[in-house]
Parts: sequence; C-alpha cells; structure tokens
Amino acid sequence: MHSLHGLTGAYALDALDDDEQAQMVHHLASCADCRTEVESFHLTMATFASLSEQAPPAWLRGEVLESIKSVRPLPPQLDSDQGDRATSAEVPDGVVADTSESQVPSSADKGGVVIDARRRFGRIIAASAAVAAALIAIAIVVWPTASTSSNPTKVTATEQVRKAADAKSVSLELSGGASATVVVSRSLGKAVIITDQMPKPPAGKVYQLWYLGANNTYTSAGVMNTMPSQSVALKGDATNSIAVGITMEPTGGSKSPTGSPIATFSLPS
Amino acid sequence: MPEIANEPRPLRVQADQGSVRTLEDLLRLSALGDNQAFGELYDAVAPRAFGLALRVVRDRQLAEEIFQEALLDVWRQSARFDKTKGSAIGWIFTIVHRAAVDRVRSQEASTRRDTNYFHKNTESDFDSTAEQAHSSLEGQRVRKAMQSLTATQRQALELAYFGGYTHTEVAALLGIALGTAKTRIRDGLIRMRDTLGVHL
Repeated sequence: MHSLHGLTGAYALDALDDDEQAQMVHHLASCADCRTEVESFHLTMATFASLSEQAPPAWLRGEVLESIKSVRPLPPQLDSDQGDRATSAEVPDGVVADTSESQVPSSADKGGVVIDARRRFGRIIAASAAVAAALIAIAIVVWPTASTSSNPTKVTATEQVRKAADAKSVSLELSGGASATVVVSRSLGKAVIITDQMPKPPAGKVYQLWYLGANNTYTSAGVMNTMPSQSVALKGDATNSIAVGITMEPTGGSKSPTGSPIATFSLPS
Repeated sequence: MPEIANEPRPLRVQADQGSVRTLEDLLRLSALGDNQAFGELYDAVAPRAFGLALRVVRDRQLAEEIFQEALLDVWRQSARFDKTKGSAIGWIFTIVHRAAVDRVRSQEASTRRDTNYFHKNTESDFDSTAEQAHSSLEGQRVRKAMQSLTATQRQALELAYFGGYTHTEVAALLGIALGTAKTRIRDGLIRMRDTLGVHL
C-alpha cells in the first residue's frame, strides 16, 4: 500500500504510466485515505487551472448546447458496492477510452446520416469498377505497421487498431502538404485514419470517409472533424473493405459519395 | 460524508430567483435532461475549462474540439457524478484535463510538442501565463500559493498538469530520479492544497 500511496499526486494529474494507473485504480477501490487525498488534489488542480482562464469563442456555446440535445445522459450507476467506489476515480478513463469514437461531438453524430448510409449498404452502386480501380492506384505506400507509439497511452479504439498484430497501413501525400494514413486490422474489423495538416474544408463542407466494399459499393464510415491533424476510428466494419476513400460533402454528410475523391487508400488484404 | 468547505468562488451561479445554484445542483439537473441548467454550468466553467485545454494542447482549434468533447462528456456522465465522493468542480476538471492530456499523448509524434522547445521555454511560458491570468481573487490566490513551492515542485506540477507529461517524462525532463519526481509532485500538491485552504 505504501508505494501506491505515494502515487496519489501523479494519479490526480493523469501522469501515471498505464500499468501504474491500473494498479492505482485497483488500490483506490479499497483505500479510503487515498481516495480522499486524490479528491483533494483534484479540487486543488481545478483551482490551479484558474491561472489559465480564457473565454472560448462565443459560437462554441451554441454548438455545445445544441449538441447536448441529441445526447442522452447516461443512467446513474446503481450498484453501491466497493467496485463502485473505484468507478468514481475511474470516470476519466472511460472518457479516454471513448474519445476517438462514440460521444465525440462531430457532425457525424448529429443526425441519422451515417446509420442511414449503412442501412442502405449494398444498394448503393456509387462508382464504376473502372473509376474505383483508377482511384485505388493512387495509393503509394503499403507496409506492415509496427506500433509506432513510443509512449504507453490509454488504449483507445485507434490505439487498438494500430497495435493489432495484423495492422497494415497505407499512407498518402495529399495536395498542400497534407498527408493521411489509414491503418486497418482485418482481425478487429476496424480501421483508423490519421491525418496531418489537412486544410479546413470550405464553409458548408465536410470530409466524409467511405469504405469501398468488394461488391463495389460505398458505405459511409463517418464524417471527420475539422481538425487538421487527428486520429479517427472509422465507423462500420472494415473486414471486407477493399479501399477507404475521402470525399468532400455538404455538412452533415451524404448517403453516398457526391464529391470527387480527395484520396483513396487501397487496403492490403 | 465530507462537505466541500471551500469551493472556488466564481463557480457558483446566481439563479433567477436569487438563490445560488452550485455546480453540484447543476450537474444533478443536467442528469435529468435540463438543458438550461447545463447552460448555466457551461457559463460557470467555460473560461477555465477552455483555458486549461488550450494550455495543454496549445493549438486553438484543437482546444476547441477537446473542450467541446469534454463538455459533452460532462453532460453524458452527469448522473455518474456522486457528490458524496467528491466535488463537482474537481470531477469536471478531471474530465477536461484527461481529454486534453489524452489528445496530446496520442499525438506525441507531432512536432508541436518538441521537448527541447518546451524545456527551454518552461520559465517564460509560465510567466506569460501568470501575467495573462484572470485578475480574479482566485487567480491571485493561486499565484501566491505557487510562490510557496520550491522550484522543482513547481516545475514538476507545471509539466505534469499543463504540459501533460507523465511522471516518468517529468523526471527525465528535470533530470531527477523518478522517485524524486513522484515525491515532488505529491509534496507540491499537498503544499498547494494546504496553502489554498482547499479541503473536503
């Protein structure tokens, strides 16, 4: 207990390495003293944050308050045994595990567009085989990817894919110095895209991701946030996809690709 | 169960009726789906939460994304907050900080976080932020409390909280043993806590 007790500070600051983090969560479940100390540190650090106060842009308020309308608050946790104690300390971990997908307030989550597109999978014949083949030819580098992250981080969905034993990646240089890499794990049936320096889409437009299936159909894999550099898990199943594409679509996304492709990543089988 | 005796000042909200609604109240109402209560909560925490995200990730656009994600998560998880286990403000800022730190770590490779750059600029970075600090009582109090820390304690806290570094990285950056870094971080927090009079 003693050595773990000394980790309360680093734990409260999110500064533990992964294995210690797990030990600490476990320890907190049974150590009331440590829980109290951690909580007092959380409170202290919230105060510390007052050194950096800065008002967010005014439009963000409307956006946040609008986005909560489409998100249902989770029900309370009802079990009140010891395990529940640990959960209070663990809440931020849940946040981390989710950031790359689910509750992220991207426009992809705002409507039924993505779901719709998926439902219609198989019915959309979006491009001729010739076009698809031409696009796929753009992919320039394919190599088996090792986990490149030098630092142990929380296992997010994107990390999971990148660290999968069968992870393969395809990188593309895009115009204007941007680049993007798609990493796919067939065993997990998931893919992620990592972008760098992507120019912001013009007003009213978004980047939308697509899976190209073996039957030449496109399925929406979600709409990207507007950050220039990001790592995003594609929505949907990558198991049988032969390529991933990016197109520019009207805000909210389209049910099938309407814009011309910005990039197409041919996925290694 | 312990009561929060010293909740930071600006984080109480004046409701229409003239009564004061605490963040705890607002979280409880949010869990019931009360958008307006969440709006009040937003106003109470936004400058500090956005400032924190910005300080950690440094990129404005990225900070906006993280701030938005974190606030949405506060809404989603509002019913999971249990006031018998801690303060609302501590809970909310843990979510914001975690979101920011997670993002910088997952973007480790990016050139934005060049260790040498950070190392060189630690001092000036801190000072310039201190100058910008809100002239609220709270900000002044915290700045004063910072002065009670040793240089190493302050740097270790800085690097961990605002830099988003793990304690192993903090140790390497400061050229001290990991054990020493752990101690400095915890001692620094204890001193800050006691100087600020924060108690549960």
